[in-house]
Amino acid sequence: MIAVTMTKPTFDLLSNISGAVQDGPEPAVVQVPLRGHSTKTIKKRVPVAPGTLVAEHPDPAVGDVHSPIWGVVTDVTETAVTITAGSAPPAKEGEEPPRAAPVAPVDIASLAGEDLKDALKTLGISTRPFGKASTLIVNGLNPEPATGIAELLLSDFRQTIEKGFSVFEELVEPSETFLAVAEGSFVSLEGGAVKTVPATYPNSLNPLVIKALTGKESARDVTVVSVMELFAVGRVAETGMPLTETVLTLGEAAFRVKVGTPLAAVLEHAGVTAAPLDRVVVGGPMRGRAVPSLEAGVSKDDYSLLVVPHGAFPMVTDRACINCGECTLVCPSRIMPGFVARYVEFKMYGKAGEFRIDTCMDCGLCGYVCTVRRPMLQLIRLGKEVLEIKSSTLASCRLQGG
Amino acid sequence: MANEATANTLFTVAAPPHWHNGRTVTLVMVETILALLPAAAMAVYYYGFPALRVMALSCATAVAAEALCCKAMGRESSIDDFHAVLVGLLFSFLLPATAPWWLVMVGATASIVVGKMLFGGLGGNPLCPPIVGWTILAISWKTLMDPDASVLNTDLVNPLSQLKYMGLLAAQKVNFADMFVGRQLGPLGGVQVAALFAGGAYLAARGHLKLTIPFSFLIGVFLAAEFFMAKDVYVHPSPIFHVFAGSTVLGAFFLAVDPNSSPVNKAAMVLFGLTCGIMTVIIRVYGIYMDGVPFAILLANLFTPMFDLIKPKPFGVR
Repeated sequence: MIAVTMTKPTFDLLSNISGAVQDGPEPAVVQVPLRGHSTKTIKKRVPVAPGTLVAEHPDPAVGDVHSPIWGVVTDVTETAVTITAGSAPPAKEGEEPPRAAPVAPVDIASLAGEDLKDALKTLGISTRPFGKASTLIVNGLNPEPATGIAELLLSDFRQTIEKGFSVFEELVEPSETFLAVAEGSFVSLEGGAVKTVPATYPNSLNPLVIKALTGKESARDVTVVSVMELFAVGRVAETGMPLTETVLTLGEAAFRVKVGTPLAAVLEHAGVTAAPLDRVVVGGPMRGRAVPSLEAGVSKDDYSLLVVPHGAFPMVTDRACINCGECTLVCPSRIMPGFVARYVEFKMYGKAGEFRIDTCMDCGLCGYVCTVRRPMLQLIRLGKEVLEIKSSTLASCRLQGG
Repeated sequence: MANEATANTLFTVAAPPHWHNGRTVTLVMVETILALLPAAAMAVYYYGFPALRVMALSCATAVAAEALCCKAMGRESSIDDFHAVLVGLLFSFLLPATAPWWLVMVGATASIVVGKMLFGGLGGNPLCPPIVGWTILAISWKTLMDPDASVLNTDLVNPLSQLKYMGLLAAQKVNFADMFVGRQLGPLGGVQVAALFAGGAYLAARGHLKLTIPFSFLIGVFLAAEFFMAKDVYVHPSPIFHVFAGSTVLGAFFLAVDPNSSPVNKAAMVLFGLTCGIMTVIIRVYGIYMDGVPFAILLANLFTPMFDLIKPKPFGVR
């Protein structure tokens, strides 16, 4: 039994994982999550092999989705493709069941520039955030507390990481490269100057890492890539196969989990039980999402799974802000989250913009300290979303107006 | 795979963050009341049963007033967060121990109704609620609110009125040690300096109280008192006198820090605290009211929205 049920918050970002990365479960069914992917290309009852393209994304810089296992597509929805392991029933009695063609590996090493980007997209890697820049920063910190795989990947998967690193050097073409690591961890990377950052949340957030390393509060001409992304690209470059797995932190252990593996299977594999009314959180305690059902599948960019017991922390309330100012004092973006959240609550989005809601780093600390336990992060995310939609509609109107 | 038991389990779905530091309104209010208990005990020690009577009546009236307000406003009762008790207790700390029952009830009701509920309850109040109640009484029933005029069966001396009417030498007859332990005439809880310091230290140690405003308040008192002392050392007392006399410590650690009526940005908090402190001394020197603390805080409360315009530049904004 692994202690994943965290009741005492710690903002320490140093890994507490003991031992190497373990193998995850062999799922009988996977639910591969989709995010805006087109489901036109995939039909039900189609046999698939590991690496078979399941859904393309219309955006050329967002990774496609592939099957992680041998099996048959049994369901397709807007948000997930369900694949059941095993083979489809034969078309006729006595015939061999249909079997998908194995996927041939792609040689990444021979590619460069746009070809490399396109190849990565078809192999499931989103290249959107990795534009050309003169500074490349490898963010070697664990993104959140209760996520401890960054050091593990840097030390145990050196070759894979270095492979991924060379791909990013090719993509970003930087003139200088840094590796940001947590104070107290002993990891390094060839070709990058190592710089330490205090090992407490929220110092792992990209804007704060950039500031710690370059001294500037601006991401201009800087590309930040996380160790997890290096690992993913490294795996793809090593094998030439699409990305269909991730490494999940569960308490003091880490598991290599196939994308789409139901959370129930992961928890069972790790010997963890979640009681009724607990929160099963994917993606970290500060910013992650609480899932309604354990049938949901793990996605490519999930690195942490934890169970927050019911009653361990005060529940969110709908009461009014009392202006205590805790959020203002803790905010790394130096805005007034209390005001911003209230403006969003009362649909005064313009005012929220004036209070620079756009500079929010999405760290969740305002909600963590809120005395009234208001849903701060949710309100701020809503405000940002609405403002984004407004500005994009405005832009398209301008285009039409000529 | 998911077995039957896990497949049918209902989980809590909520917005992140899924952790919280555990500090809730109720917890802060209860612990603030706890922090005020030593001062309440000292008040009973010096003024006896009448002090207990005033405090209990004030708390009870405040809770009843809030419950009735919530009913009249057609909203869920908010008395379970203990803020009404805290307002009642803080308000009673500003009264003389001899305050008649109706005065206590009028003041406690005014604190809640005018100071808090008229603005929508906790979080809406632009002014510190107990001070609103005190101000209404201090202006309306001046004699009853004056400890010198109303508390007669006592040997305690009010250093502030001595200073105002008899001069510095008379005021200095009350030594600092006596003033520190609360052996001075004044508002029943406000003068329990040592006990209030202890309460403030407890709250700060528990993390419920940020010391920016209290320290700026005391520094403001020091600066202003030093200024006046430098002007005429034979007329104006030392800064220590101003801190220990009257309800300066109560104001700094418990009234000025009222969440909604004080600023939230660091620089604004410092300015707010300094304003409170400096105004306290100025009112004590030039004003007709003996203790400048409540009026100083009330005045600074009015400036809070302006102070809060002084804020740092957001991340990455030039």
